[in-house]
Amino acid sequence: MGLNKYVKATPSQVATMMIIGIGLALTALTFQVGIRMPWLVFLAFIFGSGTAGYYLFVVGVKFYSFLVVTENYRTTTFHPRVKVVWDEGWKTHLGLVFAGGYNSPGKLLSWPDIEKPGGMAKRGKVAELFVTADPFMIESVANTRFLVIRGKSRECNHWETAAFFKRPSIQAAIGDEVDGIKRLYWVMSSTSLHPDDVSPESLASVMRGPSDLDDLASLFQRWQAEYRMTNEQEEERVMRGLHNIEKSRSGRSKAPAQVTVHEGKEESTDE
Amino acid sequence: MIPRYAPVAVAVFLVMIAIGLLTAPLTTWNGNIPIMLFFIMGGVLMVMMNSSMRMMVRDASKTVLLDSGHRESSHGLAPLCDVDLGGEPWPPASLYLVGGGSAYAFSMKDKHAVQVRKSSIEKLGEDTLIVYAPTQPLPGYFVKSLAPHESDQLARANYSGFVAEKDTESILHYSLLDSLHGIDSQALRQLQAFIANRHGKVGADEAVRVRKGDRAIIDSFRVLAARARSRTKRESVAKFFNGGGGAANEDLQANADKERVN
Repeated sequence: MGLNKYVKATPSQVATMMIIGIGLALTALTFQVGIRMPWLVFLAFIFGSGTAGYYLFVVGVKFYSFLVVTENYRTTTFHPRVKVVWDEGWKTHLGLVFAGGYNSPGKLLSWPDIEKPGGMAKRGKVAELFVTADPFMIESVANTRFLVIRGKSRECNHWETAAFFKRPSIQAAIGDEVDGIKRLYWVMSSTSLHPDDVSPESLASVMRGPSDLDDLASLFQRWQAEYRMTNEQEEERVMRGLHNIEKSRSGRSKAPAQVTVHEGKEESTDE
Repeated sequence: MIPRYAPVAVAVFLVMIAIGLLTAPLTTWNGNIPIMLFFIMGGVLMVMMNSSMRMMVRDASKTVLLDSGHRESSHGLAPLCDVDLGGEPWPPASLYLVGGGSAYAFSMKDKHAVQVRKSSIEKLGEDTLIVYAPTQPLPGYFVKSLAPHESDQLARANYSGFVAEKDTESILHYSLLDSLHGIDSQALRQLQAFIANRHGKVGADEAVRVRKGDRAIIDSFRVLAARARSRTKRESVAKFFNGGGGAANEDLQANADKERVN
């Protein structure tokens, strides 16, 4: 039985422990000592504990959500959503990234960045919008699970935000959604965009192609075989020792036979 | 500089004072709250706080994003082991400890590890590391075979929470490829998976046995002996009810022997 596998106790001992445990639980639940305190304080305690617990739980939810990462900021999103807008006034393409919500199926909770009209999130104004000076500053990693914006984000103040949302190109693109956006970030430039520090020549010197992994596989194979050979030798040595012990215990291996020679004829006293 | 939420905080404070003054008479209504209720609520709160605080610390720590879709946290973004030399057939690789974190005056040990090509790693800003490699989340035990030298470092560093043993929660995110520089294809991924599956556990088992020496063989005998002596479920139930003795159990014993053999 599973219980006997882990608990080294007889059935009667287990039954006794169960009886004592149930008794203790009943005693604890019917314990009549109380604390006299105002009901309001008690309700405040419950409310405060519940609120703190909820917010701490949401932090855990956000950890497993989709991410939007800049060089100096990190936030979550309900679903990675990127929009490219042509701004006629500035004569350039802008990249828009929506964020602010969270989505973690394993943790039960989710919250959209911007919900459709009538939704709760629109009233809550949780959404954040990142605007990049060049759409090519936006990159997706792990099949869009993480959106990387290559640049430092700077939060706009109220007036800057309002002025940006009044631009005709923005009004035309996301005019029906700007009411739900709480914060606006500009990402103008990057401090970490640099050419790859590994040159093709040096890459080629360490990696020729699939044949390298084949070599690696054969190396693992050889090492494994050598390990196994060592283990087999060790096992053989131990087995030989055990065999000797077994022989000595069963009495077949006695003292060396006394051999006497009588007139050129061998006689053994072992028989 | 005045915090952005200062006006809101002041407003909330004033509202709370007003509510307190208005409801002051209610505070004289005392109730007798059972002390066990407090204990139970406190216990539930502590359990919730424990797991949630861990996530909060991890969330605020430095972040490692893997191309396989995993997000990990870390104490710092410096590698535990960095092999610059490479050499045939080994690519230059880096080993990072992840899974823990440090924030809000709390600190947790990193219990997972990432071993990837050095050329597939890129640092974004000060707090984020992006790994452009199709990493495989393997059991931590496999590191004894796939990276034996690093496994000792992982297990022995006093700030490491990585446990390179069987049936532990430590995970090794392992990759030999580099998607950033085009060293990635379905064939290469299959080959990487083949190496991990073929040599991961078996190689680790062999390496552990070599280190244990004859002790490993004696241990295997003990396991076999314990297995031979263990009761079957039917035997255990019978022993629970009637002590397992008596001639009536002969058939039961015979059946149990058959079960053990099969």
